[in-house]
Amino acid sequence: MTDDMKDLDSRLSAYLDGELSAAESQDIEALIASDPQAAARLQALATARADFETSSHEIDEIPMSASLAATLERLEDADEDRSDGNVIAFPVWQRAASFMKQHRAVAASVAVATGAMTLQTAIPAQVASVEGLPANGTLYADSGIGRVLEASASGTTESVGDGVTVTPRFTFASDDGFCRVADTTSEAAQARFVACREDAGWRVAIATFSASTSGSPDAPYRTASQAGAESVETFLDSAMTNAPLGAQEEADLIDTGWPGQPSDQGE
Amino acid sequence: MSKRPGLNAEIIEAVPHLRRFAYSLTRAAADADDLVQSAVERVLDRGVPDDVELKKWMFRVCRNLWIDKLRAAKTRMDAVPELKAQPTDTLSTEQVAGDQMMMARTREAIDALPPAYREVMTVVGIGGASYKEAAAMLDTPIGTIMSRLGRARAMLAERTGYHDG
Repeated sequence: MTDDMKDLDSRLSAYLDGELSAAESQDIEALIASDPQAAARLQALATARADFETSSHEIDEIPMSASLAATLERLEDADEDRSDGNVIAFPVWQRAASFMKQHRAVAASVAVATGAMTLQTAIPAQVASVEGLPANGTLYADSGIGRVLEASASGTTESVGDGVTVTPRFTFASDDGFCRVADTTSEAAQARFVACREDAGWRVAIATFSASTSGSPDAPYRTASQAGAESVETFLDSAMTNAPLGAQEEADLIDTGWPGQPSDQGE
Repeated sequence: MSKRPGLNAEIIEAVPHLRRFAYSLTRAAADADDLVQSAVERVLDRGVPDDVELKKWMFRVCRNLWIDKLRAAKTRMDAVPELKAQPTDTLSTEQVAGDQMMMARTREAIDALPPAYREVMTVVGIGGASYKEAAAMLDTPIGTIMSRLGRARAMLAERTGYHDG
């Protein structure tokens, strides 16, 4: 191959890339208009240029390596909008937040498993009566679910209207105060959540939702196999510093209005 | 460098492009994914300047990591000459059936390109760099970028037989 041909290949190639000046481009266009060999050469180089690009798409059909896929999953999980999907983690404590970072994969699997449900779907009456619930996650002590958490023993099922029932499952002490695990059902959905006592009432730390089944709220608490319950279980592993309180301890707390909270200490 | 907002989403969006870029350089899917993963980790670890286009930045990171690997491999091969004879990892024959023969020919032709040629084709053709950007990235004069591209495409055209058509 002559140096002239090499030079022509370079110029034709640069022409294809739009890298020539207007004058140089005009020269090339004049050449290919008058010289069939040059035109054929341009065509061949254009094909090679396109083929190289096309060939790179081969990898699109090849599954990603497991480690790259895991890396991306981690990025996705870290970016996931907390209010999106049917696991809602209210940023109650730093602890809950860091828990969710670690276990976001579990949370994501719930959304996939059961479809998007919202707090509103699960407990419509409560949301209707408690303004701003999704934003601050507080169930006020004097109404609805909050009142049940405030006053009902674990294992009892209370109706809070509109076909919604609430069943506290057990109570435990965390570093940040007393918390209760409860199930709630409506016609459309069921939810399991953890709520912890604060000044204004009970703040939801984590809630998982699934489509309602015929399962009775009277069923005993169990480690459910569904992914949603699993994330509550995992949360409990992290947040529970001690065993659940006994029935008498719980009854005393109910009778005395949940004293001993961090907010009560200064009073 | 502080982490820029939405970086994770940007990275996720860039990955398919990065894979093509890396595949064009390495010519093996597994090596490409290793390269992409290293690039992602590098960017997460060290951050990205605020004023750069992430994809282009990651192409650059990818390319630099590839060069590092090539250098390491060259050192190994210089030490153990028989390694040179090992064929490069390519797709299995099952994946290259029937009417994909032409693609296979193209692939072989691309595999056979000298790395420096493939590099410049990747940086410009897949990475979307201008000649000026490519010259800066590869620390090579623009004239060399231009002549390598011309030569690389001519080699591809010759090896795939398109120049006959």
